[in-house]
Amino acid sequence: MTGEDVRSALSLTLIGAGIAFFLAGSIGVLRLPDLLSRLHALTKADNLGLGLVVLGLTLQADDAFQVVRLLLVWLLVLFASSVACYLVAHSATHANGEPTPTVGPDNPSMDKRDGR
Amino acid sequence: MPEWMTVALWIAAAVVLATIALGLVRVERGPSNGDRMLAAQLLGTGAVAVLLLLARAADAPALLDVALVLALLASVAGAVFVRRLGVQPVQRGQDRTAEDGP
Amino acid sequence: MRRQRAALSVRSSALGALLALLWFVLTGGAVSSWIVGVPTIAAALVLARQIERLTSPLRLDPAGVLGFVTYFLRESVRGGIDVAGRVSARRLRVAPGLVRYRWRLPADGPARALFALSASLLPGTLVAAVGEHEVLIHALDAKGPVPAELAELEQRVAGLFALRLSAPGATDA
Repeated sequence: MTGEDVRSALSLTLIGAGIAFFLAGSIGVLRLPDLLSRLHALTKADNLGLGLVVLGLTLQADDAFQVVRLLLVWLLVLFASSVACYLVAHSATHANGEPTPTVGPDNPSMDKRDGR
Repeated sequence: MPEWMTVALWIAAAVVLATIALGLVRVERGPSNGDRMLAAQLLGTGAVAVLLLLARAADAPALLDVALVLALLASVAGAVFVRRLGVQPVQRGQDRTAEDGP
Repeated sequence: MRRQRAALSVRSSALGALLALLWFVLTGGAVSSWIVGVPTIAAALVLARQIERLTSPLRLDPAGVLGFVTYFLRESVRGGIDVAGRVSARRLRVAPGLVRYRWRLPADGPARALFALSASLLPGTLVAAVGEHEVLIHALDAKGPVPAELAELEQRVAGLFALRLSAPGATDA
């Protein structure tokens, strides 16, 4: 086995792991009980998934330019998804222009332990 | 690039696409309109991943730039974010560690 | 006044160099692309100068930046694994709820924005609203050690911008 093979294998492993996180993100979006919890699944799992895919692809990059470009794409997506996440969460908790005080850790109605 | 790597990358892109489709079932179900923003995010992140994989698989580096522009456009929302966050016009010279107690 | 102007031009040159490097990387070093690149960078610098008048000077601590980046990468991985584990379990292991957190970071400057942006990417926390005194956090597990984790993030952000924070818990007095 050459060094090139090892690098290819490592690259594919990272990409595979990334895909697993994309899958987890989608499962979370389907299973979680409320909008805000779904956002968690999306931001964390999908961003890590993309990060791993990017890392895997950097191992196959033609030159350093491509490596920087790949990392830049990841950073931009991180930024964009964090922003979108805040906007959704903000509008969700401020449905009537005010924070909704009924949802809280001590409110058992929020404590849905099993999703559909 | 060996043949099997190209095939593997195509498969990887297809699988990511499938997981996005799975997530979009939620968007179809709704129920709130916040789920639409969720859709934008899901599509954005997933589509970027697919584009990056295809750029390598099809040996079309231009797709890398497409992904970059897609990510860049998505982050334009950042301007909105800063607006919403309200960069407060705090007076200069105020104590940086001052507590704002009620 | 003179010193301020000097500091401003130092920062402009640094930003200009950074943008030029970025352009170089994005265009793959194509020489002809600078016909577009030079005017674009000049325009960006003018714009940055306009904006900079409104914000407080930015200070970065190199060790703090490095510390923040490592912390962020480590926590991103932990966050992804955490949420993947929670949603793949046969019974969802979530107890979502809202947590209020009192700011220790100063309101001026970019520190709070960076905190809010990163908090949403770290394990189990999501920023729902940003107030003057408090930040409203949605936690995937509201019974977990959310305030302690937020305090650590705040500490890391403060380290990056070379700020000093009051001791945690002192605000509850």
